[in-house]
Amino acid sequence: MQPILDIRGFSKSYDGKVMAVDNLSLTIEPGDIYGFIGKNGAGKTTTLRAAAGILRFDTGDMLVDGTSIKADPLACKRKIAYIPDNPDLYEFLTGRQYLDFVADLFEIAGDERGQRIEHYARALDLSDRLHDLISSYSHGMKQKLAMIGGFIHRPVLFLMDEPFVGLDPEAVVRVRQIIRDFCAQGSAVFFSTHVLEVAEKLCNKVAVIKDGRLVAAGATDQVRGQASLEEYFLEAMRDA
Amino acid sequence: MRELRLLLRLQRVNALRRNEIRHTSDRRQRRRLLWMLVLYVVLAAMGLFYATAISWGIYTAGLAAMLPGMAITLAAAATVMGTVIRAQGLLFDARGWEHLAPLPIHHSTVVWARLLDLYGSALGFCLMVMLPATVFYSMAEGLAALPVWLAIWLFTPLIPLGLGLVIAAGMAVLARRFRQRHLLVALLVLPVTAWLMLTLYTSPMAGGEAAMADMMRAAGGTLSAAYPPANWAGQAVRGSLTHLALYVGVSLLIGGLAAAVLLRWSPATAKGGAAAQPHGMASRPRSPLWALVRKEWRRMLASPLYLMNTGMALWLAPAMLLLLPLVKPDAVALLRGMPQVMSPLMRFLPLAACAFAGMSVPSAISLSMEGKNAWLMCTAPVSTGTLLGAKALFSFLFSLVPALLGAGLMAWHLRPGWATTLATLLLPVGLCAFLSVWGLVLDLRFARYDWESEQQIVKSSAQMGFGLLSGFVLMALMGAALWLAPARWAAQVAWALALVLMMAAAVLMRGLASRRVYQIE
Repeated sequence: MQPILDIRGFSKSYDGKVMAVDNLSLTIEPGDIYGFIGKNGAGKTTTLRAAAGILRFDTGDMLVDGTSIKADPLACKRKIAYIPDNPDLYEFLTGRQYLDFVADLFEIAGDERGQRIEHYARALDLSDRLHDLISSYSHGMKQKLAMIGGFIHRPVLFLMDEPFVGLDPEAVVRVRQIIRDFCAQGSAVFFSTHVLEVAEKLCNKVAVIKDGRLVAAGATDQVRGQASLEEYFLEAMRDA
Repeated sequence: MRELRLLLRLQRVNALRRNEIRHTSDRRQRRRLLWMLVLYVVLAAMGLFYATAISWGIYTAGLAAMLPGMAITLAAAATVMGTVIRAQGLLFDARGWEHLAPLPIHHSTVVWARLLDLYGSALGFCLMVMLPATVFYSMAEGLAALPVWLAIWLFTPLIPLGLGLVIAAGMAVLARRFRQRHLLVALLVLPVTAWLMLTLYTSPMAGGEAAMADMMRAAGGTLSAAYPPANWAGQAVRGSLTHLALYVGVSLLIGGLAAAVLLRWSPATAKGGAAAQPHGMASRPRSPLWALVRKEWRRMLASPLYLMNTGMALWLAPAMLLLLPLVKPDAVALLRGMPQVMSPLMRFLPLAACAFAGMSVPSAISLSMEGKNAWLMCTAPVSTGTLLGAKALFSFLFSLVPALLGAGLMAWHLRPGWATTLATLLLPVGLCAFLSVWGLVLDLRFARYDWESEQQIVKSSAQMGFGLLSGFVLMALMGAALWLAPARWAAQVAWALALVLMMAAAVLMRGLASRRVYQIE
């Protein structure tokens, strides 16, 4: 089975001095809900941005569904959805206008887009606010809208940077269910998080990163062993 | 008082971005900021040069008595414009207040600090305009009036500050009520500006072929009539204490009223973001290119700064030409009756049609305007050619429509031959095409996405300054080419210039399409 994301020896340094990520290799299979955990500045965002094709890197490669992000970033971007940790959206658009804009970029037909928008907006409890300007949205609502914008084109890989920050408890539950349904259809989600409880409940696989180096990666149960993920993480941060 | 001092220091610390220049560790950013500083200095020098040239002209025409009225009216106009632009960010942008709201400072202290900031910069504007007038007036009439000039300078900003605040507050109120508020404001401001400019430009024509002094006197009369306090100041400089008291009193009254209203009515309540009306769910799919062009259009409509600074100048020409028959019905007949004016006018008509298009380059900031939203462009599954092409296409269409309308109206009013008419229509097309792509080249060179306020990009970015400068230089070069060409071939030279500009735009665009943009280093 071809991996959905194959990270091979990825390294990235800023200004040629600070090594943000050092020789990271990781494989994400279809159906994976992959959690990426580590302290602030560990290299999670750098890895996610590189996988999304928005960060240049020299060493290593990343293959999205078999296509190199370096060689053909456009083809990869058609298969990827990405939301950053702080989803700054076009505040001058309404939620619906923003989603139509994204759908136009991904060339999604009218009927199909309408159905998908309706489905995800209902699932995330945003239907009533879609015709309001984004500038009037709370952080959590923007996060939900960015997610709908990601799901709308049915990506094979959804990259999310801290997707649960700012969401209310009900929304967290809904998002978890949407992610499960999405991955059950053969796609994959790779997300960074500080909320270890969510990672433990949601992810079938996790990767732990410290100071740009991979400490552990694999099935969540195997990584944490008998301990809870939180206990394992604290231990790993001390030892590594 | 201590809080006020602290707030003023906070506002002053990054004036002209000097704190950023001192502390940034990013060399590229420092270079960009230093270039901007150079631009500020050049603009201030240009302003001073213009003010000196006007004052010198009036002085050499033996009309020194007109200097106070002219200088004060111009200073007031500059202050009104400056206040309207700056007050939007300083007083009526809720984001600026959110940082201060949690601090133990009374909101009136914040208002005072902002008002003093506006007053300080208005004093600077006024000094730039009034200093040359004071010098030339003193050369003609002696130094006795210097203390009065000083007093007038200190009070001159108050009335225009009050008027500017009323306009800015009106715009903020509109901002709360209408979704397309900025377009509405532009539509309201445009005819007023066009009418004012027409009145100023056509007033010297009152006497037909009148002498230079008559023209200046007429212009001065129009200006003073438009702003009566300038007349009082003029009388005060000539020794009337009653008029000095009247000028100071009215200035204090209007400035004080504006401050009192602002202190009672918290500007923070002027937060934008009107509730949208439902628009129905159906939407027609568009190609990625048109989706991007449409997004650019909406981006511009959403920002008063962006719209007014890049759109107003473009529409001034057609607005003035449409209003011309109402403001000055005999203007065209008068012009036609002056062969010494008509002959050069016909030669330079294609260039005149470009005048306002050359002063506006929306694409010069369109990349940077993405700001924190740039990640959306980074992840969009479209090529650089499409991304940049959409920005260039929007800029081209946005400037072409008013440019062609203005050119068409010019041709309709003046009825030149077919060759000049064609040149008058073609040259703006070439200029708009070239500047739309050239603006992108500039923005790629100086792009920055980490701005906090649009003002940093729209009003004080290197790319915007260089965009305007490029327009002026290009106009000067084309003017030189038309001037050097034999009169009977002027139209054909304009055709050739248009063709060269279009070809240059195409070549530049091809080069840009291979660039990588919206990628974080």
